[in-house]
Formats: sequence, structure tokens, C-alpha cells
Amino acid sequence: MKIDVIRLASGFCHSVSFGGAIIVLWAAFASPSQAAVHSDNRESGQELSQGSLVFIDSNGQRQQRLPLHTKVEMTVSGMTNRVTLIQTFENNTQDWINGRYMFPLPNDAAVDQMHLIVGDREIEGEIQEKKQAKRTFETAKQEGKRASLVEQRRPNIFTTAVANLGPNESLQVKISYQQQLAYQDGEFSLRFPMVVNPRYTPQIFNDQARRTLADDNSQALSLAALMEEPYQTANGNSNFEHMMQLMQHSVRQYSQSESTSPLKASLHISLNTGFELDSLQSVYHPVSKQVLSDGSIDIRLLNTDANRDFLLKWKPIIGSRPEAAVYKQTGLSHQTSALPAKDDYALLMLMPPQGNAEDIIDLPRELILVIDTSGSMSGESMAQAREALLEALSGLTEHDYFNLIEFNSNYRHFLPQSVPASSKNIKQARAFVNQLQANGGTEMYGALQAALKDVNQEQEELKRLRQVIFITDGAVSNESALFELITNQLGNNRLFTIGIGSAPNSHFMQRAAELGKGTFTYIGKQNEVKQKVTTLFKQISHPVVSDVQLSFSDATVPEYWPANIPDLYLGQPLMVSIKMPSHSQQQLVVSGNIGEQFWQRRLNLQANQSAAGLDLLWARQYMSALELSKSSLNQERVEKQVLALALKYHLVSSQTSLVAVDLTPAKPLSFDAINKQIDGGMPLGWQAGGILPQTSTSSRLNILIGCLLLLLALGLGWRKSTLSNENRVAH
Amino acid sequence: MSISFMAKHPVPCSLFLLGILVLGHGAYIQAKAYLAQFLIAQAWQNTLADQQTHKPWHWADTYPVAKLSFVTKLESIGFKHQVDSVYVLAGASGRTLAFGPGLVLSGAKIGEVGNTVIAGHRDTHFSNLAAVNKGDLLQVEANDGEVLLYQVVNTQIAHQSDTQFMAPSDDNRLTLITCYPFNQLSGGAEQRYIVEALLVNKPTAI
Repeated sequence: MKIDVIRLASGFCHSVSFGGAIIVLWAAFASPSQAAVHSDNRESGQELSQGSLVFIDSNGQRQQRLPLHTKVEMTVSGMTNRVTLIQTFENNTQDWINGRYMFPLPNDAAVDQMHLIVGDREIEGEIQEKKQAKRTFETAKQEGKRASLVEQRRPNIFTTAVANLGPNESLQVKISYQQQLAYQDGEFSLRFPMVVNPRYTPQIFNDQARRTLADDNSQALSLAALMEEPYQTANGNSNFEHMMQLMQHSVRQYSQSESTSPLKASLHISLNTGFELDSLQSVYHPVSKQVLSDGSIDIRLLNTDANRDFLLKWKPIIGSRPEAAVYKQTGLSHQTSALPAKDDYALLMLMPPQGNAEDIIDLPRELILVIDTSGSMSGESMAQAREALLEALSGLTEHDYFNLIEFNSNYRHFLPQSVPASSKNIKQARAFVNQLQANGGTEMYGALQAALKDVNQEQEELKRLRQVIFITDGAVSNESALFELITNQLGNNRLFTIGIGSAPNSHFMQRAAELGKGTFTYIGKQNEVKQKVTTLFKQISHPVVSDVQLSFSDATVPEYWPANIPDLYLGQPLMVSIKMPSHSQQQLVVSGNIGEQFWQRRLNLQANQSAAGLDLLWARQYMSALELSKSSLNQERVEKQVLALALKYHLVSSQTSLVAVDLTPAKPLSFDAINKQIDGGMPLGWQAGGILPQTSTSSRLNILIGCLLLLLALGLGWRKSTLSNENRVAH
Repeated sequence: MSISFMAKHPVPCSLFLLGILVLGHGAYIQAKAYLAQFLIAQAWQNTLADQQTHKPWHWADTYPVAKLSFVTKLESIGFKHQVDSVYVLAGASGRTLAFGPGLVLSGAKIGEVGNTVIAGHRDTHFSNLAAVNKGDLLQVEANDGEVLLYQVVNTQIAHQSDTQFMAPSDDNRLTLITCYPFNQLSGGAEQRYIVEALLVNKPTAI
């Protein structure tokens, strides 16, 4: 029996020697990191428990957040919305500060104006090339002048920076943008993204000061410690003491101000629809409504602790729902020269005939679901994709045909050709989806080619509408070849892309969808799958008009955006921004295909309503089309085009910013030391979809538990065998 | 003999087997992370030679895009090139990260103007991020053999929902992401440790 134990023990040694080596390796790796982060732990814990008002991060960087009040004024007229945001930056500390605040705006917002308001003076912002604007702002900051800068981070994310805000002062930045209203199923809607926690981060300490704090002070700086300790007397000339004093002061001030002034956001809308309304509702927030004598409606947000997007919807009564409308404007909104305007800008809205209910149901449709099962999809992404597929399958009706294609290094069809969505076929498809495993490479070309190729070409009389739904994380290396394939082989197909995972290659998928005359949907979280897939399917289930074209009656084509007009689905109007020569007498001709039939409609440009800001909408659409076409080959050219457009139309873009400088110096130069730029500091509350990549495994825990179990087993085994040996000896 | 031993001592034997399994699982993750880098190194040599993408093994869904080195700063002798290197793979999916740090595909490519984002596991390839401080240098070898030098300008802790760190930028920026805290044993962390670095021609003292 003893021999057995020894054999077992030696076996154990053998088997763990590899693991043991790994543990040593791990210990060697882990020990310095543990030492290094020990002090950080406590601080980061504090950061959370303190509600992130004031905290000191791992670098000894103090991050303080001050209140910011946002006031939103909207004027809705016709199909457009003019919005003015007034951001009030308050400084309730004793320091001179530079602040920065990042905020979301709707995706299609054309930001064209900014004013810096100091007291009763209003300084208008200038549009400048992005780098130039930054330089203007930095120079003003160094000279102690008040200044503000509005930059675009992404098409829907902007930042406002302010410089030299004095102690207990406040200043306002007024930002204006133009926006097109959404109109679908006879209902107008407008959305305004609300920031959960509008606070901004002042940047008080310069680099030197922070280093002093971090290096000299071995004890951790915490909010509580700062508040409890008595004020230090300013006897020493050490930089550190000075900073310490400032910090204590700020913290006290801040804790007081926080209890007395809660943060605020207010919203006011002047709604001038021109229609008799059937319904008007704010979907998520309580509002007050008041009808004014001129017929417009005054709407105010009642509850200011808004924590989700503001969404207002209104529906004209059935008889007065607009079927076609042209709004027109002559010249630019921001006219630079005194010359008479050469161009007109128009916004066209046209609701195509919606047909009878029975036609809609009978439209034959073929759905090709393509799923990426490459190794990069494994785990969470695959689970999401599988759920999206199952959701898509359950959305099919008996009239639909469908097929599935999975691809990794190779591609594989579910069935050789599309089959009706009978319950038997759906059941088989579900089984097919459930056994999908993520493995291998991403060879998208073949799969895409197979999906776009119509195997039913011989059955020409049976023309179905083919919709290809492509689910992937977009991890491809041959983008341009794929774009070419889509352009050349699209035919009657429509390509809809669904992005999955924490950071898919959205640019690829967006561009692919645009070339494929479809849409791109991004699903960031598991719990969004059902809702997003259902929305997509609802949207694309009833196509009405395809191949929409626009021209004048003499067959010349005006400059219009979007240039590739997407198919129009049930309840969707055609919305186009047009630029044309002034005083054009011509008619506008809209044509397309409804099913197999040619459809055309003529619109008179004379009987139209005038509107403002249409040039901004036109330029904004032009710019986003340019940005989307950007590749490594034409990058420079696209950037130049965007720059020229943005400067001409006075718009904030990826290449331009608005900057305003108050020429009166505000800050005495002697305060320079505590007033420098520190990068970082973003608002809370802004979240794009998805999360940062998950970068932890439980390998160490497994190794540890494994070793403990082995030791336990060995210990027990040893004790038992000793006992039995003793027993034997006793006998 | 051994079967009778197992029958007589069911508890220690089953504990032993379970221990082997759990330990093996943990060791497998570590070993995979460690050993894969050798295969990736070979693929990287091929890539450097012909500037084409090479898969480290034929069923792989990724390929090396860069070699990332951590240069530890020692004030006394200037910048000492004490280098720890890892090979960076394309894509930051869970599968890829098991073999090496991954380049997030929604960000800028290696060396491009913009925000280049690389994520890695805190318990394997990026465990030494904890020792990276402001002012340290990061060296990135691109597939044409060019070596880019980045200097760390900021390190900070963020929640996983804070995707602004992956937002595009107009400078030449490198963002490294790993999970936080470093010494946590279990997986599924919600916090991230972020290292931000900017391209420099030659290092300056920060």
C-alpha cells in the first residue's frame, strides 16, 4: 500500500511539474505588479464610493467635476429643427480654470454657430481649420484671455473647451445646429441625446505641480483626508504646500456648492408644424404644452433629472398628412461676400404611393442570412450572432424564401438553394444555427459571392426580392476587394450588415451596406439583439420603391444628397437635399420602380415654402458621404474636400472647429503657474454602445484552486494510508 | 492495485482528479499564451520579409500586425533598452487575445494617424502594464520593419463601458487596454487599466 502512495506521489510530482513551472513564472510576473498597484487599489475604490465628485486617480492626478447647466432651445418649422444649446460653465472654486466638456448631439446635426457670452458681451465664433482653431485657442489661453472652442470628435460627439474662467465666475457658450426631422409612418419625431451627468473637468494643475503631489506625498491624498485636515498655514515656500492649500480650499468649496446647487438641464421647444395634430407626445419625459395665439405649440420639459434621450413625436391628422413638400432657400446661411446668391437649396419630401394592403403582403422575398463563424467570433460574439439568427428566423413568414450560409476558412450552405420558410424548414434551420461553432479564418469573399449570386436565375418569372443579411465582426484584411465585389455583383440584391462584438470594424460594414443599398446595424450587447433585429426586419419587410432617381424635366441632374437614394420601404418618405441654380423654372422629376412598374412624379418648384438652414443640411449630407468614401488611397483628397465645404458653409466637421476669443484679457499673468492644459477629463454619462475588450481570464485562480485541491488530496491520502499502516502494525 | 486504491480512498482520489483538471485548465491558458508567441514570432519574421500577412498556424483566424516592446526607463543611464516584447495580432476577440495582444480593428492601423488601440490579457501578455509609468517608452515595429517610438503620457483606470478611450483622435496615439486590478485572480473584470502614449521622434523627460 505504501508503494502505491509513493507511486501516486511521484506521478503527482510528474504531472504538476509543468504546472509548477508555470506557477513560478506567474509569481515572477505578478509580484512587481502587485506591489505597484497596491496603493492604487484603495484610491480607485474611493473613487467609486465618492460618487466621482472629486478624486485622485492612480497618477495623483486630481480630477474634479464642476456643475454645468445646459439650456436647450428648439424651433421646429416644417421639416427642419433649429436648436440652440446654451452651456453655462460655473467656477465655484478660488482658482482660474480651463474646462472641457464632451457632449453628444444627434447624428445628423449640422453645427454652424457658436457664441461666447461673457457678462453682457457676446463674441461670435469663427470657423477655422481644426489645427488653426486649436492654435488660436491655445494662444488666447496663454495670453490670459477668455476663449471657447467647439470641436467635433465623431459625427455625433462634440467637445466645448473654455479657457481662463475666473474664480466664482461663470460664462456661457451658445452652440447652434440645424437638423432634419424624421418622418415615418405619418409620424414626425425628433430626438435629443441627454447626458446623464453633465459635469465638466477643470484643469487646474500643471504637470510640475502634479508630480510634486504624487512624488513628495507618500501618504495617499484622499477627499476625506483633505476635508478633515486643518488648513495649512502658508509659511513654507514649498510648491507642495501651496498646492495642498489650494486643493483643500477647492474641496471644501466644492463640497458646499454641491449640496446647495443640483445640476440642471432645461429644454424648451417652439413647435410650428403647419398641420393639424392628431397626437403629440414626449415618449420618456413629462412635458408641459401650451398652444399660442399664432398656432405654434410651446413645450417645456418638466423633470430635469433626465437620464435618457429626449424623444418627441407628433402625428398630423390623417387628412392633412403631407404627401409631398418642397422647401426652398436662396443663398447661404452664412454669406461671406456681397454678391447676389447663385444657388438655391431645397429640401424635398415625397411620400410614394403606399399601395393596397394585399399587395404588400404578397411581395415575394428571399432572405439570405450569412454568418461569420471564424475564430474571432468565438465566445460572446457567437452567442449574440446565434441569437440574432434565431430572431431573424422567427421573423420569417410562410411566403418568404430563405437560406443560410456560414463561413470561416470556407463557406457552407444550409441547403443548396433557398426554401420556403415552412415550419419544418425553420426547425431544421434552427438546428443548423445551434450547432454552429466559431473556428478558423475569415474568408469573406467566397461567402459574399455565393450570397449575391442568385441560384434561381433560370426561374426568371419568379422574381423575388433578395435581401442578404450579413452578420460579422468585420475582421477582414481585403476590404477593397470586397467593396468591388459588392459593387459589381449586387444586381437586385440588397445587403444589410449587422455588426457584432465589442469593437467591430464599423467602417467596413457601413460602407458595405451603403454600396449594397442597405443599412448597417450595430449590436453591442446581448440584450439588444432581439430589439435591434426586430426593428431591422420590420423596417425592411415591405419595400415599396426601388432605384429612385432624381432629375430636372430637361433631364439634367441637380446636385443632391444622398446621391445613392436608398430603397423606400413602407411608410418611409423620400428625403433629399438639393442644390440648384437660382431662379430655375424647371420641374423636378422623381422616378423609380414600384414592383415591376415604372413610377414617376413631377414636382413644381415654384409653389413651395421657404425655409432657413437648408444649405447646412445639404453640406452636412455631402460631408458625411465624403467621409464614408474615405480610404487610405483618397484620404488626403477627401479631407481637403471636407475642409473646403466646411469652411464655405461655416460648419464644424472633422477638419474644422469654431473658436471665439474675448479680446479683453481676463487673467493676470502672475497666476500662470496654476493654469495649464492637462489633457483628459471627459464627462460622465456619455457611452457609445458596447464595452472595452474583455481582457481577463481566470487562469491564475484555476491554477491556485488546482494546487490547493491536489495538496488536499495528497494530505488526505497520506493520512489515510498512514492510518491503515498503523492499523496493520497494531494487528 | 490502483483501482482498489481508488475504491478504498474515493475522496482523496476524486479531489486529486478534480485538482488536476482545474490546474490543467489554468495552466493551459498560460501555456497557450506563452507558447503561441513563438509561432507568432516566426510568422512575423515572414511578414517582415515580404510585407504580406502570415498566419502563425494554418487554422488561425488572425495574423501578427506588429511587435510591441516595453522599454523600461532608467534615469541614471538615460533610456536603457531593456526590452520585453510581445507580438500583436489583428483583432481583439477573446480567441485572439488568448494567443497575444490584439489590435482593435475599429481603431487606426499601426503607425497611422489616429488612435491605435491594443488590448491584452492582464494575466499573461499585458501583466507588465502595471509597471509602465508616465514617460516610459513603447516601441512598435510595423510590418515594414520601421520602428515607431511612443511615449506614455497618461495611465488611468476606467470602467469597461468607458468606450471613449477607443474614440478616434487626430494625433498619432497608441492606447493599451488591459483588465484591472492586476492582482485579481478570477476573470470577468469590469475595470480596465488604460495606457495612453503619443508618437515621439526622440524621448523627452516627462
